[in-house]
Amino acid sequence: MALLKRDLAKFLEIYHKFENITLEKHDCEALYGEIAVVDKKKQHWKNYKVLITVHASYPHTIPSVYEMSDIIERDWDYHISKQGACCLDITHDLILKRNTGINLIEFYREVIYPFFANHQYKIAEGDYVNGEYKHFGEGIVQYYETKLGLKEPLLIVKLITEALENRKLEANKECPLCGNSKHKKCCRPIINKLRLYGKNQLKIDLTVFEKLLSKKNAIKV
Amino acid sequence: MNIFNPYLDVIKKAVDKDPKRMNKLFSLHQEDSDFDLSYIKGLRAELPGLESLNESTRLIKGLGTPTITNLPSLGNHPDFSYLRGTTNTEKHWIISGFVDVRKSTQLNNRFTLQTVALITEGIVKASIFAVNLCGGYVHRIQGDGLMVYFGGKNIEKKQATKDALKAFALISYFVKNDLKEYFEANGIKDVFTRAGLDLGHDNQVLWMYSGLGEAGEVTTSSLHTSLAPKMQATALSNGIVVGQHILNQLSNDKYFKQKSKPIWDYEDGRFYNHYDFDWEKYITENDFAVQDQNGNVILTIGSSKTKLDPINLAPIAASNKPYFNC
Repeated sequence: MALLKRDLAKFLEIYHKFENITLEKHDCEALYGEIAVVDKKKQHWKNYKVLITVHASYPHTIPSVYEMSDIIERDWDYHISKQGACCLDITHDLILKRNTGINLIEFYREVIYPFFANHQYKIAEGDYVNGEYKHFGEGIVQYYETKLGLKEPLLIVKLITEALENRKLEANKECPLCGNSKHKKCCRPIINKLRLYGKNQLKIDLTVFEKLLSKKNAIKV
Repeated sequence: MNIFNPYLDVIKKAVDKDPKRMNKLFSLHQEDSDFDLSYIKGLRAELPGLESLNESTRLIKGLGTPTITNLPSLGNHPDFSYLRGTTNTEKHWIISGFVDVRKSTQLNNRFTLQTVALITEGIVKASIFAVNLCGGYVHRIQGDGLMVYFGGKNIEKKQATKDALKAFALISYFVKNDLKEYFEANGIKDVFTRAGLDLGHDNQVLWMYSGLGEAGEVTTSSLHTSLAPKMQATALSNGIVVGQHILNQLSNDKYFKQKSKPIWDYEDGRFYNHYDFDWEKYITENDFAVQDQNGNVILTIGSSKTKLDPINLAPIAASNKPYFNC
């Protein structure tokens, strides 16, 4: 908690429109305040009232952000829940950030603030500046394809299963997953990467790809 | 566009056109008299006048705000001008303030005298604009510094205090952000403001005419007018220091940090304290400014609406690719 309290104080020294508030939950700290979206030409776009909660496991946590001013339409297309919880990024990338540990000020600048800037961009242009992930399972499929370069559901299921099982396959022998001559040169680096997402996320991912696979097989039949 | 842009634009033009600056880049030495500086006259005329003050006043206070046709002359506060040329005096509270731009002398090494004069004129005009926009009165000008009063017979102390803090914060913002950014890009470093503000109550301020014949001014004799420049001298770069009386007028002291030593010893066991004023926090929390992604303060008060272009938002939004799974 000491590190969190120190970083909260640093945050409040910089961002004057925020204050540290007390929540009923004892295992987290909260910031309530206003985000002003300002562009590169110093033009002011919009203000959003937000609540940011940070779990005591900081820095190994991902802050939750709630938009409190109802400016963002409560619609899936705006990546926000009815309660105002903002889906800042794909879960996998957030998990990677959580693993290495976050810095509150950096997280605000690199993740939270851009989310609100991107909302203004979408209002002005009709789309997000870099597009968006599809909702739920389809977004996971999109992530595997765009970020990991994995497209084939059968291979993905094998890779995730292997990552979950924690088996150690022979590095210099033929890869039992894809058939390449050396396992260490094809699937092992990917499995290691997948393990970083943690078992909980991998189980969710596995369900998504298994469903996709059975759908594919059903079509073939 | 913020309220100081018109002043900054003229200063930028003067710097860009300055022939001494250009010669310095190529290590050439010429006297000012060798240059054709006739363009300066045109630039001086470009500095905003009362129309800019009226426009900003209407943006802040509303369309029905009376038009200002002229500003009161220096050394002659309108509420006490009746004292001019007399031996009469009046006791009345006032907030005294001093602000000037430090390290601006280095401009002389880089630019022609005419350009330096125009930069100084731009800073002074921008400062006078800010003071008048916030209901203050400019009492004296010295170089690029001002002595000002806030208060009079038709205003409450609390309001005058807020006005004074706002005006000085605006001037500090102009120099710390707009001007400094541009100067630094042209190799001029460490230009900053220092300011001091203090309030003297009715029994502590004597208004009088000081001078001989026409060579004089309607001025104040007060410990608190005298303390204001002393506070200014203790201010940090771009800092504003205020006296205890200023602090007492506000319901919230979160913007102030007490200096380690008192500014005045009454020699009867009492001391008078002074405080650093966190003006950036003050203008942000009071909605005169906002903060960008990195916490930089961006002035918004009185800014005219300009067309927003998403191209300028794209570099900030680009690191976000949202996903819904809530």
